[in-house]
Amino acid sequence: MIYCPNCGTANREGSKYCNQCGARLTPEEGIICQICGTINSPENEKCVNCGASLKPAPPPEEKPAEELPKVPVFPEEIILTIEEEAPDFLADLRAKVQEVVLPEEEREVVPPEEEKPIFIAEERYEEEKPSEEEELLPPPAEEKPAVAVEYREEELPDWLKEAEEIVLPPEPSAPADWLKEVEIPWLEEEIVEVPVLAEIPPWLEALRPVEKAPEAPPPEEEAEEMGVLQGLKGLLKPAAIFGPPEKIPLRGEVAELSLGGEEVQKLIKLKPAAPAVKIKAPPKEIRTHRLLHFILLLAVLIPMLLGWPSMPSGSPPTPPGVEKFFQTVEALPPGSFVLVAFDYEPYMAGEMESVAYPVLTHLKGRGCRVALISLNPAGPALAQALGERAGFLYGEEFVNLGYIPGVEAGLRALGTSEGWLVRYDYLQGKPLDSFPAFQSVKGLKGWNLIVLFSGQSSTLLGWIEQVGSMVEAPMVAGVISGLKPYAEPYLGSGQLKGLLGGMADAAFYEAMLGKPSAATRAAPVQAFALLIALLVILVGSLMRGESHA
Amino acid sequence: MLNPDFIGQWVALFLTLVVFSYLIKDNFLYRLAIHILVGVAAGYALLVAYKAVLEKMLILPLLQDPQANVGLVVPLTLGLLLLTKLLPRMGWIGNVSMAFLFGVGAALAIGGAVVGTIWPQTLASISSFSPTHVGLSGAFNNFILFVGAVSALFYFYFTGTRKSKVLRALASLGKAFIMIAFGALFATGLVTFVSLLISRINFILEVLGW
Repeated sequence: MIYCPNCGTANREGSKYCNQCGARLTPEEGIICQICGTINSPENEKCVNCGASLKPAPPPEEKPAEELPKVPVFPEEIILTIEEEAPDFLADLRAKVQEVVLPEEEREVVPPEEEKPIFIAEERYEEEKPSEEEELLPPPAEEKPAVAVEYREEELPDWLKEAEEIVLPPEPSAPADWLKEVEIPWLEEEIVEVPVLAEIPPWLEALRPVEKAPEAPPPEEEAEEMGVLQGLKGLLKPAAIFGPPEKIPLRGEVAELSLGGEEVQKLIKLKPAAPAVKIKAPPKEIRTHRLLHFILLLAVLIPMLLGWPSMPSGSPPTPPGVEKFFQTVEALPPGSFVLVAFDYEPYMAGEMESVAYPVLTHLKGRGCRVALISLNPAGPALAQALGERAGFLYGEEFVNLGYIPGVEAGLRALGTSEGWLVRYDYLQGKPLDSFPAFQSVKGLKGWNLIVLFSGQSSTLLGWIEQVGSMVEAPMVAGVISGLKPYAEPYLGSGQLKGLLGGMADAAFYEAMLGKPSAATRAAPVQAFALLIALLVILVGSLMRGESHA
Repeated sequence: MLNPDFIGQWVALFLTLVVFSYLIKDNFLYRLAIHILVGVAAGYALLVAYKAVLEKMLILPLLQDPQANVGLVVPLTLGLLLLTKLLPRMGWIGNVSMAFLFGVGAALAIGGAVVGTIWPQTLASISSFSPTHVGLSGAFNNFILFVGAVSALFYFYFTGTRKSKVLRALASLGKAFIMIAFGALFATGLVTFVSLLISRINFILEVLGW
């Protein structure tokens, strides 16, 4: 195994790049760590994996044996020292042990000058006494148990043979009864270290290479039943195609996926494509929404192609908002200044222009001077076209103030500024002060009426909430049909003095004005289309209820 | 003959018919028209933002009378700070401008809602049920509004158990009022789209000379 110097993943022997991260495993010139086997860069002084020093050990100088330095930690001198300076209690201990354990005839009688510790086999030690060079190295670990067992078999007393099989006791056993009688002050105090198996730290255990279990033979895959791959088995790997790749292809390697694809292509070329199996197509689902769209389209198109119908007699009474709107405009004296806001998107122009146009013509008829403004970037262009269509003369009867950014903030700034917030007009780019017809109005001051044409609730509420409390001029609004429910409460509270909600209300306004136009023509068509839509909804609800039942 | 309005009318007619072709099937031309609409709208908005805001409200006043318009340096600086949002490491500098925008926007929206909607609408809701004051229909209308508002509020009363039959009946009544309100909103939305359809078909017929 080669461990990746970057991520630590175990890779197969001989791998050049890591399977996990793609890092290079074999630098061109590397140093192999003697501890973990990781290949490190030549400039590394320590192993990137285990931190061991990578500096090669200095080669042992060939010196004569007598010149080697003597290490004063090795047995002979120490033993000699122990023998010479053995305390008396050890000799007493040995005698007591022999008295307790051994029969009298087997007791060893050792002259005092030859006394040695009982755990040292002097003869054997002398036989295997290493040379001075070997003394520098620790004895091999495997030999220790063998020596101990052999010694016990030959020399150990019976009471020790019972513990023969326990070579490395996991923990110190309880002292025997005879040992309890012996008082060994230093033995009671000091902890006897018993060699145990070293525990592997978690970080080292995590690096242990995991042997992969032998892969089970792939299950028998079903052959393709249709298409050009009919009859082929096990060629495609859906998981590899539709899921993430099992491993990142390394540089210079070909991914398994592409290999599979090549195999498939070869087989396709070799084997002629089987005739396609004809599958009976499922019945076409009825596209309900498309059907409804067509019905609505025909409901609008047919009456318009057959000639614009007129509203039947006995039309409903004029809505109060429309009447108030009309009366408010009608009450304006000639020459009044009217600020008109065009706050709708171009796609709403179809309905909003039918609402705004009769109002502008009414204002034109009243001799008002109109300034057009917009909170929508596309609004000034729409306003300009509609102002010109209503017959206003630019610069004298109407002026286009352009786009005011920021909705609430822009309206607030328009109301609090001393002069024009917009300094130049939209059409000609001239300073607004250069229009003599509008010298007496600036910002939100001096207006006799504010008319709002809104297609969005945000702009409508922006005007009502931010400007309504700052101006004394009455406010009226013309909105798209969908916005009428939102605007109605402000009509009821008096914050709006009039309200036109969509094409139907515009038709009423045109009727009051006496100038029928687009809204008047479209209102019957709209009513007919809505009637058809209502029938479709009822039929659809009944059919749905029947199918549920 | 080939004036811009004439060309614009026929281009608009073609795009309108292409959009209507979606009724038959989703197709390439329909998607092309949608992309043109989005692209043109974005481009036009960008042009208006430059011409109407940057040029007329900032650049020209600063160039023509710098001393009188020295206050415009503040929005100019805040606007330039927003550009640092394009740089990940310096994006925090633009937080000043963002904080200013959000703070002012929230203050204006909350203040406007209280002064312009909540308070006036609350006052407007206090209405009389007496026929002598508002007439018979007015009294009936106000009563319906009162019952609808109270029952709708009870429908959203979730904090306690509805063991009382009266409370459950009020909640059911409130649910009915809410459904009627949703139906009215849907109906007005449908009216809007029918109006837009009428205007488009009217445009097509006008261009074709019908």
